[in-house]
Amino acid sequence: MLKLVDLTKVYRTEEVETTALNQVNIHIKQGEFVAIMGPSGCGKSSLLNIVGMLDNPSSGQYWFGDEEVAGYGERRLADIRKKNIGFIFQSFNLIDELTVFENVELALLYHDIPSRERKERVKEALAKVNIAHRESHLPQQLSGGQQQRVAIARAVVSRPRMLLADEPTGNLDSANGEEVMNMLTELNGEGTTIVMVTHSMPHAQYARRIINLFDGQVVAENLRAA
Amino acid sequence: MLLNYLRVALRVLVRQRLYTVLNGVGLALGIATAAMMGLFVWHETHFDGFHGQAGRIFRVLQARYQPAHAPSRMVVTSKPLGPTLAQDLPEVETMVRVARHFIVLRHQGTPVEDRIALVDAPFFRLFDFPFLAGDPATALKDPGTVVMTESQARRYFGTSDAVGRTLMLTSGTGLTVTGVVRDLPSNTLFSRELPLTLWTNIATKFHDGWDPMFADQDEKWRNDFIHTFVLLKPGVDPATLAPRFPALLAAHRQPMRAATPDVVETLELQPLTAMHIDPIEGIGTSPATLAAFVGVAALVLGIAMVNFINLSTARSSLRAREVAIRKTLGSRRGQLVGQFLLESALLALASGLLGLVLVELAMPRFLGLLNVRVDGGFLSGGWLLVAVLPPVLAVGLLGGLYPALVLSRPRPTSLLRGPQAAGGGRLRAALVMLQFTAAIVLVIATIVMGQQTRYASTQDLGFRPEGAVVLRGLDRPAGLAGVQALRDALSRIPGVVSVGAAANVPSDRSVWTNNYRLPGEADSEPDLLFRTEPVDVGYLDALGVPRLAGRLFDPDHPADITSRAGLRAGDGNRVAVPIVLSAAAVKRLGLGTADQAVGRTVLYGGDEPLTVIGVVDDVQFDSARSSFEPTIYMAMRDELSIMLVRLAPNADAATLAAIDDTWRRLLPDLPLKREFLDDHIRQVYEEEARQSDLLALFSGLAILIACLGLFGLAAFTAERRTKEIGLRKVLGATVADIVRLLVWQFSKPVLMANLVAWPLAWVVMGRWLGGFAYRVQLDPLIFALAGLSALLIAWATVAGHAARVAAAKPVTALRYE
Repeated sequence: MLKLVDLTKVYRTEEVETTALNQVNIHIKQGEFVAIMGPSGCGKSSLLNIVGMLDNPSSGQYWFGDEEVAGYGERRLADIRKKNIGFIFQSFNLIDELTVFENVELALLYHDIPSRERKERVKEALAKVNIAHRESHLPQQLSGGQQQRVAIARAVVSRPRMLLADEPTGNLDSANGEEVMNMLTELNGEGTTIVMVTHSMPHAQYARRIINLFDGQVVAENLRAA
Repeated sequence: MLLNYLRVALRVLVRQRLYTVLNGVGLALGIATAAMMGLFVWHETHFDGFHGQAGRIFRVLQARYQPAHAPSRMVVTSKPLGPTLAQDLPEVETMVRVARHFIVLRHQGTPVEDRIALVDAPFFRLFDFPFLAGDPATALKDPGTVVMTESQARRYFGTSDAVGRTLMLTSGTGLTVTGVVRDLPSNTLFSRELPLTLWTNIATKFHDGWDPMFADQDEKWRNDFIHTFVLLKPGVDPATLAPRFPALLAAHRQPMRAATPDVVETLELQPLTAMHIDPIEGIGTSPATLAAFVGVAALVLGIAMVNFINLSTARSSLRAREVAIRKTLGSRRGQLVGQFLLESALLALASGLLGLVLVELAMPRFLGLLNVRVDGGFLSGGWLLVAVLPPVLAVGLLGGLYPALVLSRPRPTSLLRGPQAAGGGRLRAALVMLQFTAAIVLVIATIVMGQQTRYASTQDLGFRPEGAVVLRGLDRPAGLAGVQALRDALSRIPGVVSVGAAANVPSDRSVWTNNYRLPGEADSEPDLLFRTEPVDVGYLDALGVPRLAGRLFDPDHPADITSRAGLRAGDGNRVAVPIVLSAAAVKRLGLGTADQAVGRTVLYGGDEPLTVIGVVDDVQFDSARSSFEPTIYMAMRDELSIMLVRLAPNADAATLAAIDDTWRRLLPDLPLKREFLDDHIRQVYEEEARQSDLLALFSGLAILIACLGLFGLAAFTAERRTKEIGLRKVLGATVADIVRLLVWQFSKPVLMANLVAWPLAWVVMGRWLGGFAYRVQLDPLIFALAGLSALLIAWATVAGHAARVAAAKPVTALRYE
């Protein structure tokens, strides 16, 4: 599904140059569930941003399917992104002014999908994450766990091939965390590739493969028995 | 998608209520101000364009160029000029002259005066005023006819269906109504500068004593009193006629005696549509006034727009996260730009609508302040939309453009990292500075104008305006014949101190000037142009002008009395006409002291000798804009028009009633027109007072709008810096420290604004004051005061937010986000 070859990301400010990713090589296959772990500042989020095409690498190759996208501009990246990738964030990132339903629908608005189909798919997604009864609420009227479920619904409603989750349980208590992980597992079981960054070892155990990063480099890869 | 944008836009507006209201109200005020001023300017610059032949109609001006003198232009010409132009210049298709005459008629039992225009028959061929009845081509073909506006028809006949009826004058003459025209629109010369409601043929006889005088003018080329309009043939360039005018004039007008040879007298053709904004003799709306209006409107609107943009951008910087989410979900930059523009346009439109409502409510009051009439048509929806839509669209676009372009630029990752420090802080500070610069300049201008207006109205006028009554309307045969009897009768009324007739009272805006010189001066010396004031015995006393030397006109010296005709005759008997000089005239003539001047001879018009019998103090005949003019008083019986009555301090209502009774008894056919002299003088300063009121209004508005913006920005900053403030408090800052921190942040741009505003206001107001001969000095204290008050207002606006945020528990602040 995607292949990173000698991928490097360097952040430059006027005074310092920080290498966030250093010659990273990763290959993720269609349908995999990969967890990325490592201490703060090891480059997890940078990696996820590049994989999610929210950022460009400084050097190296990024093959998405059979396209090398490392050098693509924002416009082309946005196009690939919206067709293929869904995002889940630690801080949910829902739009405060939109209701639950509208937040989820937003992901489809950029896809030229007819209104009726859009509505059906939103309802379906909300039902899937068990939040349909709150569809007309605003985000600030929901608990953290409920908000994250909405964020998952929004991530999956466009039926992406790959889901990127950045600390999806970081802001949740253990019960809600478990629930989110079960949902991700379920989605993975339906064929969606999942790449998740996490600090939590128990939650990383849900993944088939764990990639450990340290100082911008892959230091270990553990394959968990199915 | 559009629906989604609209939904978000509306919810953002509702959720950020405070900003929506601040933004909306501020912009609405700015738009309403600009729209009202814009409408006024539009109205004033679109005079008389509606006549079908407007492009070919010109008013004939008389111009006089003389070295070392300002060129002079007059709107009036001699009576024979028009027909001569039509005859001598093949390019002239037709000409129309307009003279005005006061007629007296009985209306509901009492004599009333009305103004009628004597015009050449083609008047309504040139000027398209729609006829409700009658035929414009033939209505004024014959003498003895009258065309009137529908209001006049209703006033005199109770119906607008008046054709065939007769308008009876007290002189016994009847005028037959041959046409009724719709009331004239507000944007025509004939509503404003030269108001007309009754028209008659120029050959009409009134049998009120005026006819011979008027007929007498047919051959007089030096008596300028009539307006002359020409219609040029299609395709004629008026500039090609100009070179022929001096010779044409010279062929008919005898040269002025002893005039210096380098005086050029010529004619100019003033386009009909330019007359209103090319004021001659101060009548009309000057380009400077229009520019001032446009300038003030731009300032107020500018302040409101800056507000809108400042607040919109500040608020939208808080929406970086939403932008990032939308981008993550696949939104293109163009879509985001569209979304922000839509939101901004929505608020701008709502403000525009509110602005329209404000215009509807405030326009009558605004026009009242300006003292102008504007047709309802100009205030109708279409015009308002034209006036309001451009600023609305501009503001909507500008307000949305910054967030649209700036926020949509970065990669979503940089936005997702958390709420950004709101960018553009320095730009916002600069914009706040600009706003306050404009507001401070307006405040200084208001104070200085107020000071000058007060100063001007309390300036020593050289006479006593209070306690004097003016009776007007003696300038007709019955009036002139009754002057002496009236004066004698009024003098006998208890409570009346002195009485005297004259041609004008001060502030009548009379301008009769003549050339004078001393005997024996070389011909090469230019003549001196002095104001000439025709008066009667007793007038200077009644006016309260101090006598400096010699004596005043005296009924015991019959030779004191002359007439314009006698003065002009130059019949060679060389009896010197007695005159009284003003102190300024003595000085200008170089006659030494007042006492030395008495007995000296001055030549009028070159060779008519005049003898100085007395000298009086200077009198301000105009306004504080001009200095005391050198004036020569002559006792001319045929030029009198007003009677001035000086009252004793104990005069009361009975005195006034006795004055009225005396007039009615002695002049039963003349309407009584009485006013107090000081009221009349006050009117001269009314325009300045009005301008100063308007300016005060607009500077108040400017400050209000600027403060609305500042209030919003302060609230925004306080909110944005909540976490920082919490940290500072954890580290030991007191409430006072925090308040000081925030207040100082907003003091900087206001202080900077002073540095820019002061020199600017100094130059602008210095120039404005330069137009007054007697003026206040610019006081640096006022500048400091204006600056200080701006700062205090800014502090008051900001301090509330600062205190609220600073007083909150630091933990609340830290938990924020």
